[in-house]
Amino acid sequence: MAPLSLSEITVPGLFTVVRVEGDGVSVIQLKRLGICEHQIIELVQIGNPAIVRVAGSRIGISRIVIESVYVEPYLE
Amino acid sequence: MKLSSAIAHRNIVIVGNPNAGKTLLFNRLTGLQAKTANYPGVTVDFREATAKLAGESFQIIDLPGLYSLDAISPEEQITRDFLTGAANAEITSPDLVLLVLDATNLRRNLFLASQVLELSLPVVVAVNVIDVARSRGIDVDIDSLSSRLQCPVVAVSAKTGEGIRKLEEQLVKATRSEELISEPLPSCTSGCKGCHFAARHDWAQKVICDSTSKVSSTSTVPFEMDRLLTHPVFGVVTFVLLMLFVFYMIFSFATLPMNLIDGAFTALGGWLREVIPSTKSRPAVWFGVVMMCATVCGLLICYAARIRFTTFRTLVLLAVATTVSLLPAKELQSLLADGVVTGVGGMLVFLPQICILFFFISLLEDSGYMARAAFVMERIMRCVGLPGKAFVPMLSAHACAIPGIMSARVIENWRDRLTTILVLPLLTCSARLPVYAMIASLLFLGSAMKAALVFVGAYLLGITAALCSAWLLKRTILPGEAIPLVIELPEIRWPSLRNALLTLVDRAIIFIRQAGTIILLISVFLWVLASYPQLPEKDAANILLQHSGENTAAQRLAQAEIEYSAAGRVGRFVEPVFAPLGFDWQINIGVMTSFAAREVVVSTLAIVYGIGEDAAENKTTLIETLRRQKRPNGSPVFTTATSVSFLVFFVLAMQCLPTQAVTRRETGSWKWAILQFTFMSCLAYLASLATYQLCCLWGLG
Ligand SMILES: Nc1nc2c(ncn2[C@@H]2O[C@H](COP(=O)(O)OP(=O)(O)O)[C@@H](O)[C@H]2O)c(=O)[nH]1
Ligand SMILES: [Mg+2]
Repeated sequence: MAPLSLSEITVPGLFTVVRVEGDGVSVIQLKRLGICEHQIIELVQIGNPAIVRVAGSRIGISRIVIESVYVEPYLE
Repeated sequence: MKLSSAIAHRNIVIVGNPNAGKTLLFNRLTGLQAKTANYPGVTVDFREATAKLAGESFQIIDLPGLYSLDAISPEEQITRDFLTGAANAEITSPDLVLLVLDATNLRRNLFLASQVLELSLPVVVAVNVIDVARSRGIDVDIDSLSSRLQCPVVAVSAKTGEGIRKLEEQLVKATRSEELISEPLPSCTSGCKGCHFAARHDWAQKVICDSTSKVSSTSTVPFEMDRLLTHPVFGVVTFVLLMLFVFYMIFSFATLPMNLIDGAFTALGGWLREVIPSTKSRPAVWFGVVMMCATVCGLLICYAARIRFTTFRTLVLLAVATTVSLLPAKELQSLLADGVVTGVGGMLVFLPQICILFFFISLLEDSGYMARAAFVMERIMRCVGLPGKAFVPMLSAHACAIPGIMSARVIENWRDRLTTILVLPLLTCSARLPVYAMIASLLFLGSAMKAALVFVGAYLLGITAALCSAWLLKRTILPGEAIPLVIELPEIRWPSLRNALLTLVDRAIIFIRQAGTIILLISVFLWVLASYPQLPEKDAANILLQHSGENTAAQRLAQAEIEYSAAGRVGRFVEPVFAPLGFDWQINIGVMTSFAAREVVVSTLAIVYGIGEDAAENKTTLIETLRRQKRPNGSPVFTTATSVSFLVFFVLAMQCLPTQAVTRRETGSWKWAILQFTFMSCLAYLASLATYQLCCLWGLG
């Protein structure tokens, strides 16, 4: 299955980040908070802004930012 | 910024993620002697203090929190500058870094640690919030963490004081002995090809696995609460209710102290009039005494404003002191009572509101709620290009623009903060209420319903103007990528009352310093404008003679005096400018003087229309008199058109010098204060013009 943009996900759950596109301030912000390649994240609340749990804490992120995050479902 | 003292002592900088407990730990280590300093350019606070740790003096600096050394905001840039010693000659690189990690959130905090430990600076790590971690069953193995990070690690709780002693000892030891300072940690990204972020996160994960063990899982109660607080609908409702509560507290608790301060300053003014003799019996003694007092006051002001002395400034100070001592006794009385005391008192009246507001803001920030508020308001505020966090300053500005502007600091992004600050004074502050009340009764005396509509309309006009201006500013002079929300929702914690009180004191001191320096100077300047040139003795005597026997004689004199003064002349001079707005020259004087503080307009109108100060309190008399005023052609002055136009002008105009001074302080330059003034004045003028002309077209003139 091709990676989906995190903004297209409709059911909360665990995901593996495949890639984060683009650069710029928001992307650095995502990456340093733990949303970068191969990391496991949990989409907690869908909406704009959405809530993602990563590296042990919860982060509120505008839709426009998570559009550039591509994920695959996490399979244990 | 004054960091010269930092060079004298060895300095320790406190670094860590936002909310790791840096400030609380800083307060623990330093006690109550912290000073808030400002970084030049943008206003970013950092607090510094000298503290004795195990008998030795250290300069300790509490820096803004950051997530990584990538430094993507001005605040983070500053922290980075401090760590790397770059960019500013005044900043020496620190002797020691105290890295604060949050034990309940070690995984995230270790990311920053991996960067800081690579800097080849001596580091001591404090694993903070250990009390909460322990109660959650998170067990941190300090020794193994210490060997992984290759530096001393101490478990502390800034809240309970646990481990602080040990931390102090470690800090002293680390600055004293060179060999304790370890080699910089070999970069965890060396040899890795992928992005360095992923490598650091993997490293953090590994360290966590080695050095912590978790017995039980976290309770789910906070998550349920969080679901409510971040809910698109309930979240907003909760936020609005909370804000209403805070404002209720401000208005209910501030009233008494505000009345007290007001009363105290009125009494002080009266006392000064009594104490200062109205004639100089011994001019030489008088000169000496006044000269000395004036010089001492000047020195105090310079000290408070942190102005350094140069020959030129000393000469200016002496010249001013000499002028003051040569003033006739009566004028000195008036200068002190009407100029200084009234001006400074007029600003200090707002101190209680500011204290209460900052107390609550600090509690909300500390508890982690502010992040949720920003989260739920984000979408609504984004429509006008402002971040969710701008909502709090906007609400505060409805009490008074000054605390609003000061609380804009909760907005991290500099452009967003600047936009917010620029539009805040458009919102209806409490000082506008007397003006609204006057116009409401002028228009609809006796109809509470219609009068209430005037108020609602004025409030709505202010809010609309502010939001539209923000939208416009974002598209014109303050463009740049709108930084979308990426915000950590920290865990809800019990806020620290101590921190809140310290914040309150901090803000209060900043505010008082402002009132004692710049506002003082401005008040004196305005006093000069309204008092000079003086009505010649002959004319004054004539007026008194004409109206002798009438009890309005003193008022007539006051009226003539203000007409003769510079302010009065300006009022006459700008008549053609304000005529299209429906203002006559007497209203102009009111408008002119109210540029210092808008609430004076009511009493000024009372004076220029010759009613006297006391009558201004009595609204019916004032309104009746205003209604009776006729233009030279016999038509009434305050028609519906003029009244509405006047109201619109006061809703939109920047008529508050204290606010301007605070804008200058918070933005770091007069440029923004001047821009704010110009743009609001133009807006007020144009809107007022349109209102008047439209009203006249509809036959309301
Ligand atoms: N329980 C507990 N709370 C703490 C501790 N240290 C800080 N806090 C709380 O954590 C919040 C953030 O603290 P603060 O000092 O403002 O963090 P800063 O952003 O790093 O300056 C506040 O509510 C503090 O009261 C601690 O050791 N134990
Ligand atoms: Mg802090």
